[in-house]
Amino acid sequence: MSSRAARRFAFSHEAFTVVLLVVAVVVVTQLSPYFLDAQNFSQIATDSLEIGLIALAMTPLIVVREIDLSVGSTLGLAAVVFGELASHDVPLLAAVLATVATGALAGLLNGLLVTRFGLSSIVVTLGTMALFRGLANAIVGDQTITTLPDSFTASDTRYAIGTLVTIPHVLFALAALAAALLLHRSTVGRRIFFAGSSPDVATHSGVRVDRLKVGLFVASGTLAAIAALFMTSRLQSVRADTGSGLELLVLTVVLLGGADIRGGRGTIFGTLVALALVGVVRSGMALGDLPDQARVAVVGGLLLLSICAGVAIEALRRRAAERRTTRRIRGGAELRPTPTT
Amino acid sequence: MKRREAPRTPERREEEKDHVPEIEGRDGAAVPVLEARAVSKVFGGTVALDHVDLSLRAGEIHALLGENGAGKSTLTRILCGVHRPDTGELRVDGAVVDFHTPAAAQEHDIAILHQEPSLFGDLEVAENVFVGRQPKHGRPPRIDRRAMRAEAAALLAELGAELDPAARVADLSLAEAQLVEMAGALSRRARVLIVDEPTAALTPGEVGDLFRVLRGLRDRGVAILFIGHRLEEIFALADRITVLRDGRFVDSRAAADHDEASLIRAMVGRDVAALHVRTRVEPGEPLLQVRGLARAGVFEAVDLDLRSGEIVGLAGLVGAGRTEVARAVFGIDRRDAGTVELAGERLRTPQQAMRAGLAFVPEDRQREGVAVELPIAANVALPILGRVAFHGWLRPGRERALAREWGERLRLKARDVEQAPRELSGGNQQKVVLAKWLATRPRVLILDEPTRGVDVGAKVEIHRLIDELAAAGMAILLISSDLPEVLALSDRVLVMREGRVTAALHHAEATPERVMQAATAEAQAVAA
Amino acid sequence: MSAVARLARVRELALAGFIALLVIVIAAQNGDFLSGSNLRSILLDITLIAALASAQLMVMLTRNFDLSIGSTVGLSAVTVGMICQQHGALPTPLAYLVAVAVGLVVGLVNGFAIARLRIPSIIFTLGMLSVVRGAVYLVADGGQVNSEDVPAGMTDLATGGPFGIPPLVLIALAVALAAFAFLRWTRSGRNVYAVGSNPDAARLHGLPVSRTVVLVFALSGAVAGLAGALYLSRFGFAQITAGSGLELTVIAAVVVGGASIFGGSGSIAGTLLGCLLLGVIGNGFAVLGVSQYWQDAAYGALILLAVIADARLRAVRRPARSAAAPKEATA
Repeated sequence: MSSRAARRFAFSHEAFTVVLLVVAVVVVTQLSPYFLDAQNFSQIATDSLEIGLIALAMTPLIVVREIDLSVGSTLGLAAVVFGELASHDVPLLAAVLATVATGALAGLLNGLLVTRFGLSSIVVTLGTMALFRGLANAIVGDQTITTLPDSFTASDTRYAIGTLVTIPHVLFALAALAAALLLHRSTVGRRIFFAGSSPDVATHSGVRVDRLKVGLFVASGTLAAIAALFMTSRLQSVRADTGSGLELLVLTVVLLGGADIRGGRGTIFGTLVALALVGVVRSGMALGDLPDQARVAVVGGLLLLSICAGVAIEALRRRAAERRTTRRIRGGAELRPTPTT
Repeated sequence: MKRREAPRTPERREEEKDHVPEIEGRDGAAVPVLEARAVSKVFGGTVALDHVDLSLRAGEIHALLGENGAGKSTLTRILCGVHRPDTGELRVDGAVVDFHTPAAAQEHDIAILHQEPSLFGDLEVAENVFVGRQPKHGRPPRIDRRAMRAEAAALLAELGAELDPAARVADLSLAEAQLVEMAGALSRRARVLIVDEPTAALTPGEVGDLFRVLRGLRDRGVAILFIGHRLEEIFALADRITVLRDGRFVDSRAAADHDEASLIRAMVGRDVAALHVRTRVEPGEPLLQVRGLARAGVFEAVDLDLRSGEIVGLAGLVGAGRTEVARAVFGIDRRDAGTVELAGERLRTPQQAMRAGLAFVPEDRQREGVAVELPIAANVALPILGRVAFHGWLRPGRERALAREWGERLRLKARDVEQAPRELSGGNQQKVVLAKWLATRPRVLILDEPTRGVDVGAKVEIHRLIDELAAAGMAILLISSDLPEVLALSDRVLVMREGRVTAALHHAEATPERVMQAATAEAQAVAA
Repeated sequence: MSAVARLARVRELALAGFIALLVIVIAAQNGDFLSGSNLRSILLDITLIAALASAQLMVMLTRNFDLSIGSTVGLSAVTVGMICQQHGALPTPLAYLVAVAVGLVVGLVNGFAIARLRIPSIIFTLGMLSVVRGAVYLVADGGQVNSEDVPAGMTDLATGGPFGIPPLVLIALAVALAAFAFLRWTRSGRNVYAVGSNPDAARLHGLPVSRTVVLVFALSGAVAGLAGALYLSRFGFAQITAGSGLELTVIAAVVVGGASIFGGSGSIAGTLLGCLLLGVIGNGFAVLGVSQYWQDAAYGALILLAVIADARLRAVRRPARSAAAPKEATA
């Protein structure tokens, strides 16, 4: 890493998140003797899988100046579809495919509404958040589906390596690697950054911005559906409110990871660090026996902290640059003025 | 009429004067109403204004001149309280003031007419005139809509405008919206009126009306700061002229002491070399053919032919539809009728256009030309990303090499190709845009205002480049509001007015008068 | 009357007509729908929503959202209830005052963060949604507000009243009327429209942009606090989940009522009609025996239809050479 790249990293949001992660690990270690345990880490990974999977799609969505608030409801709807099919003796593979298709269709609906009608994705996905949850409700009502095939519910505990790394862990690691390569090393990723940083430049350079966005919404819905499968196999049951409130966690992870809500900036690396941070904090709260409501509040607090930190880092950086230049002109030094932007 | 509200109390005015023991006039004349002394402004790492002075006296029209990027807008924004200066001070009636907000400037009776009308589309005309100061009546006091509309109608009548005060502003034309802003300034009974490039989108008739109103205000004792760049307008209107260059004060003199040559010299810092002389070549085979292109309400029946080695100029007023035609030709905007062919190939989308060898350097460089936050190399590679990459995977080394190659050819001044264009000057940003499109090796190049906001040196370089490209066989469509530039470079000139091509002139017959006549359809092209 | 006022009026008329049609269709299926007690129950059902929507309209007029209102309703309801549980019944006016104060604090936090730190409101209030819900948990301290904790003076507000209209409904109506007068007749109210219509122009005109944003969030918080007290009066108890999910229904009502999500346009009359429509649909589902579980789906679909209609209308209305700056949604 060159020295300029090093300085850029030191001033970045990602670095701030890494520091927070270290602090969180130290604090939780002090608080609980059970934290520093390989089995616990395996558990944290398992608990973070669904959030992480959806965050992999949410990161590029935020980069491209969109947002998907319907992911929790999409997950719920997909889980309900899976539960209904699997508990009615539909072959497992067919049920899985139908579930993934449900998620993809949900994402397609979001994407088309946003691009075809030029609507704000915040409002569209707020609407579909209610719509998808309502559909899930309408399908199963207040019952809980528990009659799932054993071959499916057992897959969660099937280990890939030793007794710590499960198959879902491996799948997630592969998905994260693929997402990182696509976003940061491929032409698609490059176009995503242009579409988010300067949408008009992208359009003028032949980037099909709308198509990219639809693709990302479909990816978001699809990953939410896959997360629904993971969650169902972990919890071994399905209810209409499965995954509700998940959008908040996903958003927290992505923003905490340094993605800029105004688009154009964000990394998979940052998102993964933030995922670990949220996982550690939640694990700490679980070890400390904090109830659900309080955990949600802490996560919300983390979200607010990360946004405020982003604003503060940006302001500090700009002010430092301005102060340097002002000092130069106050000192009367000759300088070549540059046109304003 | 009794719509004037006391902006501040006499006591306060006295207090402010207390800060300055003696009131001093510059050249022994009356104390300036508004004065800026040694004002500087820094944005991020760039210096927009560097110790600039300006003084406005009551009852004068004072023109502020300078090239794009000279700091006119920044100074204007400081005077009306949008920005705060980093050094120096502002004085009103000789007393130091601190405009920390636009409201503070308004309290000192300073009003501004913005370049782009800054109005509230969802609100009605009358409310836009009185926003924040709506008249009230009754008990408890409520906004008096009827009085507000009546007063707005009276003000608009004073300006010679017949507008429904209850109409929604979003439904108005640009010129009408400007009148609404003007009515707002009138309603404040402003002592200082800043008018920021108001004529760019107006017809000469509308410009004449505007100037009549401004002169009337001056005769009532209002100090007017007029920002513009059409010299004939400046000489027709201004009493005094202040020139800025590269963010610095150059001089301030009576308009009578200037002639066109001296003014240009002051603006660009030296005698301007004659515009680049074209090396005209015989046009080759036809490349771009546009037939009957139309977009409802924007432009219609546009035909266009470009041949290899030919430069066609597209002239017209701002808003005549030139940029819109270019966008439709490239396929960015939908078109309602017509065809675009490049060497026989039908073009519909930007992707098809790029593949066939069409390139489009857009007007708004920072919004549409370069992504200012992303590296130069990524910008240059973007249109040909597929060719630079390996089966969809980026090859950063090749991108950098490509950007370096074109950067050297265009003499781009940048630290390295990983730098963000945000830190570059306007001219160098434009070179990044040119590099990006020339790297696609186009056969036809559309240039929309390629030299707007670039310094003189870069402008000369760009002119030379355009000439070289045409000589090498490229077909070029040149859209520019800089008439001398269009006339000097073009083989043929098309003129547009209100969405239609109104003239097609060979370069020998294209005189400024004929072009302006076709652009405005009014016999007298220059406002008097 | 200006073209836009005419159009808005037409839009509200269209909405009213649609509601009337719906009422006729439902009543034709089941005559009980129009019975006095059922109409009263519709009114009571939309009381909370109407008060909250009047305030949310103001927030949305400035191009912002307040997603924290549901949690704020819960916080104020549980706080008042817990005070009564531990220190005995508060006099009703004082209970209402405490509720408003609690909401005001949340609203001020929202307002200052969003206006001063320029944080997108949708994100900040999403964070506040969970933080405030956490506060509800802390205040409840593992318990909940039971019916014997709520002062009788409060629950009485949900019954009786002139012409069979409970005082509760009148309180909500007063909130809506106050919002109407504020938006129509005061300069601050007009500034709310101006700020949302064109924030840059508002700044250039010297309008107090941040103060206006702080104000609408403070009002939204205060009304959410008041709605917490209304909640106690209406239901007579409060769990720690009280009010959760309300924000969605409220935004649905405002959007269905014709307010633009791009700010600058919308009316109290339309918003109240939007509330009524949601109330009629919710109640109609029950009367017609349609599963309550479809309600969320219907609300979601309504939001989508309303924003699509808004976007279409804007596209048609915008002239080719418009004087107004194009609006962009902020993500």
